[in-house]
Amino acid sequence: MELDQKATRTLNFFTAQMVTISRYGIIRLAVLLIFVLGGLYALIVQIVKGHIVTGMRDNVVWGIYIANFIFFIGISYAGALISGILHLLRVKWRTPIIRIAEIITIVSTLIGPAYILLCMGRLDRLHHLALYGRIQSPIIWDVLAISTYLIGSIIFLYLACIRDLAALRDYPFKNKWRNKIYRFLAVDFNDNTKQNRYLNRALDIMSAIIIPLAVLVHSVLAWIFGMTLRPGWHSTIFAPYFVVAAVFSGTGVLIIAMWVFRRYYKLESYITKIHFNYLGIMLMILGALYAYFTFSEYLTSWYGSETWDMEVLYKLFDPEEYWWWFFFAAIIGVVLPIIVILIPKFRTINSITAVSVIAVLALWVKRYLIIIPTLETPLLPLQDLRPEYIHYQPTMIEWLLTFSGVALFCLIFFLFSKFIPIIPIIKAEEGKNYAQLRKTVMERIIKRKLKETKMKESQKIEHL
Amino acid sequence: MNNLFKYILFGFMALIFATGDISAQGKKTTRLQVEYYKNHDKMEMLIATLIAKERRYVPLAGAMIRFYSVNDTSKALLEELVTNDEGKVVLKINDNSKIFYDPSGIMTFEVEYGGNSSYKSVQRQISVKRANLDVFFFQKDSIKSIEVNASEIGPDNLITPIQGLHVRFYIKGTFSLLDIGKEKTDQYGNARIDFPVYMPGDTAGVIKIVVKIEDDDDYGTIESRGEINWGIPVKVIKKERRGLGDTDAPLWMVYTLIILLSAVWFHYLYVIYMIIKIKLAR
Repeated sequence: MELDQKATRTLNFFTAQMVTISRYGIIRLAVLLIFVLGGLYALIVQIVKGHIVTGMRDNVVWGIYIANFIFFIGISYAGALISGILHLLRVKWRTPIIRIAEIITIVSTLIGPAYILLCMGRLDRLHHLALYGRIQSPIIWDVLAISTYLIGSIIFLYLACIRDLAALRDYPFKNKWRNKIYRFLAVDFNDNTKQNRYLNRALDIMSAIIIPLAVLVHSVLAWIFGMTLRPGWHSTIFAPYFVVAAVFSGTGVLIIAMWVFRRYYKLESYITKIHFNYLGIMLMILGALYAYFTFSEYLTSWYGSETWDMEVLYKLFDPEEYWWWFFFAAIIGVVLPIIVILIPKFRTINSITAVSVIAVLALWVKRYLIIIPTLETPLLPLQDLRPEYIHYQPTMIEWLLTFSGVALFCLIFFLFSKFIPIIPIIKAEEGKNYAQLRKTVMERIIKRKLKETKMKESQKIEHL
Repeated sequence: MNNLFKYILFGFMALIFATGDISAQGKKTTRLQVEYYKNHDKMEMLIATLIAKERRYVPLAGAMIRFYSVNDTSKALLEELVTNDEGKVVLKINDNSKIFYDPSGIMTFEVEYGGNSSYKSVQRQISVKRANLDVFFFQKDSIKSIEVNASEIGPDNLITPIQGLHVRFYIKGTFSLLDIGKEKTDQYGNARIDFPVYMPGDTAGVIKIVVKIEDDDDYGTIESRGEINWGIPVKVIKKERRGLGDTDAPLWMVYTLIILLSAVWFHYLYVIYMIIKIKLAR
């Protein structure tokens, strides 16, 4: 495939990074691997000894695994939404961030559901889900929706990568296996008109499909809580609340990922402050929306004074229980990003990234607060008053598996970046190139004028 | 050699005879229960139940039962029927011309199981008079009552009231009968009890009343039914409960999900088709 100078320069820049790894890179990779292996050890302990090694008991049957699941699915949603919408709207500045968003979607959709498996007591019966699953059950709907979403996200990312894969196919790598894989994945793309037309059509379809699909997936997840008659869960606004919270946290993760890649892959000329500013403003708007939903949710529960709702609220507002977590999740994690991004003086790349970290952590805590205090408030009085039955406390095993999930997320992201350029190399021709159009029109006008002048001159000569 | 052959032959024959003797002695005891039953549709039937003693008495399925109508001089085969899994067999006897009646209108039936190599034969005789049981509802002022009339069907279909017959009254529930009283018929063959007005009926207040003469020596079991809207109408509240693991989600939701996912997957397939076209358009 023929590349222009700029694309060739970008290709050389990224391929150099793809085939090498720095010493610090190896150390970072080793640290991530240690965490992942730690998680593997925790998983083996959990399988051998059973769920007694977790903090989950008869009463609090869900713990941080489910919080992690919602968190990762939320992140994935933001990736799909941002890349889908920006693609459909043909937003010019999207190019450097769109692939990071797409990779976030896939990696988090892979890791998130794994936490559901960690919650299950009998993993040896996992295949029963496929063999005996019934379409009438909402749990199966969630499985189908997430699987469909994952496959859609993979197709979307693949389509968006085809142009780059074709460029990489023709690049002279030392390792020939790379060329073989790129050749297979590039499906003989050589940038001709027909291929571009088909590819753009496929990308448009997937962009349009992935947005409602992501909303649906996260809504189904929210309805699992919303349709359960438990205080703190049984809410009509849970689906949009979850969707907004998901995009909020996902945008935060996208900003963090942009900051990390910009810094360590030296992408300052690709990912600029303008990208952070745009995404920061998006984060601020989503933060305001999220704050509105949070306020609405807790206000109606509190004002209604329903006994069991109040039990949960008392827990959240009690300084000896969850007040400080709640304060961080509902106030600090929302207000701080809004203030920092709202005031132009504070709006720098580092400050936007810092408040994104706070927002992401706050959103994780929020997921924890959705699950645990509600389960600690049973609808019937407890018969057995052992402390671990009343209060959930995550164990070391659960923390290990949580951190290993985050490490795995970073690790897969890192591996992706070693296989595909983290920023698209080849830009697609979208719509009309007005500069080219103007140039063509001007050329035609000049030609016509020249022709007319020549004709006039020749007429003059003939006349003479 | 000849002697050896002779001993083996005698021994073998002795074994055969001995085995035959053992099997004859090992036949299992059987019992036959026969009941005359006339249901609320005036259908008359003989119900025979055959049981056999294994470790305990169990129904004997697949056994041939013969039904005879008998009188002092004659015996006519009515039908041969095979027992079901519960050891039961039902013979409908309405308007059967082979049935003998004695001068007082009594029918006598003989029911017989012939036995086989494993089970002993057994037979039972039953004599019944034909009777009718009719149910009526009466209301006088605020008192509501149920009345039954029991009458005997004699020779030439002559109807005479039956006095002193015990009649039981029930309300038909969804799964069983609720006993609401027992009364003896008077000289006119009538028996009456107060209607239980406090009972809940269906949504229209309809209550089904069942009256029975149960296992009477002369008349067997006769049942009659009637229904009236004197009960308390019940408002049916359909309680819906749905949980995460339940599999009773409304069908419209299931269909919506299938349609949505199918639409999404159709687009996936179309996109894959586009990828193939990209490859072909190289």
